[in-house]
Amino acid sequence: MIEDKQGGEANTSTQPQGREAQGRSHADSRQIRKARRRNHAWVSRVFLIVHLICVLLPLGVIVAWSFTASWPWPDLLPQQLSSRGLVELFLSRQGLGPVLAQSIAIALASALLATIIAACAARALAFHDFFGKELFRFATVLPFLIPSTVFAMGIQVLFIRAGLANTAVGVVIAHTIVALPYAIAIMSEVTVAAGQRLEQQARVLGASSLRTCLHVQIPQLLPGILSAASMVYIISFSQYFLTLLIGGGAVKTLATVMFPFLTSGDRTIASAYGLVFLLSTLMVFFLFEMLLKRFASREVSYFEG
Amino acid sequence: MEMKVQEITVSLGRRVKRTILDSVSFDVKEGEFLSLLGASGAGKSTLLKVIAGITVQDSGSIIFDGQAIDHLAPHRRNIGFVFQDTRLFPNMNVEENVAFPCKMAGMSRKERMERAHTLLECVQLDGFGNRQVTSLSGGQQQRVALARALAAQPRVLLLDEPFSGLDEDLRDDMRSLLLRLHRDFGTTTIMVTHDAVEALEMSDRIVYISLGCVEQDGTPMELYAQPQTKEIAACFGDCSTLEGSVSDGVFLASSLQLAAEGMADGPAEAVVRYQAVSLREAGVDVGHHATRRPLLIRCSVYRGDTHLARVDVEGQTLTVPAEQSFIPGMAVDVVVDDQGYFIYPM
Repeated sequence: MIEDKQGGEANTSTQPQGREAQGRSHADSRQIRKARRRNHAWVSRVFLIVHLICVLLPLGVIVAWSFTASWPWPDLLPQQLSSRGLVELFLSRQGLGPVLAQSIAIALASALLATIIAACAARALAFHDFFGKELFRFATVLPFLIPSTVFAMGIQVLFIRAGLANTAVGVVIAHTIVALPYAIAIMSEVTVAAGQRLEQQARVLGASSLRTCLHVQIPQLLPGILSAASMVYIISFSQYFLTLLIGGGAVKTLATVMFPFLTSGDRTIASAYGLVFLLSTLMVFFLFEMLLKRFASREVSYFEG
Repeated sequence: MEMKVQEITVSLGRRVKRTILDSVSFDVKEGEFLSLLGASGAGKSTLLKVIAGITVQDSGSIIFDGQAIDHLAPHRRNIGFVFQDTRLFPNMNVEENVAFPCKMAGMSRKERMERAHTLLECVQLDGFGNRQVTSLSGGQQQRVALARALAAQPRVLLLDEPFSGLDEDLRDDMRSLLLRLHRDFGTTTIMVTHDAVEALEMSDRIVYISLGCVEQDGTPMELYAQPQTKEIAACFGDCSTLEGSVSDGVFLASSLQLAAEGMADGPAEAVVRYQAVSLREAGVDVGHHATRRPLLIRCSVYRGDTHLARVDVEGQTLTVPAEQSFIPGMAVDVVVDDQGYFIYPM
């Protein structure tokens, strides 16, 4: 203590120098911070470049391939351009529109169904005690452990009996089951993080459970809900084998139409489908993002307020 | 509104049932400000949640104006609840938060916005209606929570340690604001607190709860002047607790003796308030003092307005406020005021 006091006095008696020293130390710290930032900038630039190489380059190749007839090794650029991809997409008999619409509809329906189920399951796991809870928790990740091909074989028989085979509804249900573990994992996290604090508050202020859900819980959980929905959407949208088996060829999605071209090595058409696949997914995700901005425009925080 | 809490018992826990509240009963009069005082973990908050309907009791009954409300869901009980952590809805602005209970009660938009406006004025936050709740300071958030709890004219206002998350200087302002609101609105209020001085300052009546049981139910003066248990006597702070024994109506700890009339012989504890004790230099005869032999000063600490001398009572500490600091090892006699100590059997 005493030493501190002396130090303080010394400072006041030599104020001009003290101030200079202060100024100097400010400049120093600014330089240090700048230097650090420069280091960070260097690291992030490397990451950006790696990212571009890993993601955008293959994408570029797909875009190029969808307009290319042949691109033999070791040529750097495609040799012959082709409109075969465009013709297949827009002028073929089966038509892109209905297939794309059906794919999106199935994926959206799966996303809706799975997210609702996941939200309920996550809530049960987070806040309720019941007999066999740990078994139930384990059961929610079971579809993770069983390969979807095995699962598809098993469920097909059941679906045929139930009359769900070869129908879009059956495909939606199958997709939902496969994607559920992911949705439950996401929803569990956000449900636990959100807790029951605001829900209790709403209830004691006169809100019924339905209105609490509408006015408080859904807005609070919206970021998680949309993450889960996006996850299920993309899983459903890219599902091939399951769709083929349950849909029995009657239910056509973009993935099932695209797959034969991939396996037969028709890169032009496969790439063209890939492009549609990518763009439509991006579009739907963009819509989700808009939804989030619209309905959770105000800052949502789990840990404050 | 008149309210009765009747023999509320609550046990929580899945495998091992733990009794949180054990047959708690008390009455609350119309317009009364009642504090539930007790150490943390005593079950005060649980009791508040039972009244609100968030926690369901194992047995017992909550009665509003002569009618049991145990079967009513929380949202049908018409109560206002302020939690310690404010719990404002982050997806609504200040105004919408305050208007929320009115919206749930079915008020029209115009009406409830007017109501929100009035209440924000009452808590000195007019002009804050359009602000985001995250942009407010802790004290402002708590005031919004208070306004929201009062918005739908609740039958009873429940407050769960409403000020313990705030800075000390803010707490005083909030206390007077709450008392003013209580005066203006006349809402029957139950506040949970572990701050005994806060309870003294604010309440018409205090119910002291310890380990799930009511230990004393009385006015602030009664609790302060006639605490029923050692815990209550000690909860107001600034006191020393000494272990000793009673024989022939006298409590004895080392050479310190205190009158304990009407108490059975046996081991006992004394709670001695700081301000009831003073020190005399040993050997200076001032007549009546409580020590048979002089005691030794262990140390002395500075506390701003006073010094606190720690007197050694056979390994136990008796703290005494003093005008000057004492040298460790000094021998002193102790004088104890009759009103400022309480003796309880152990």
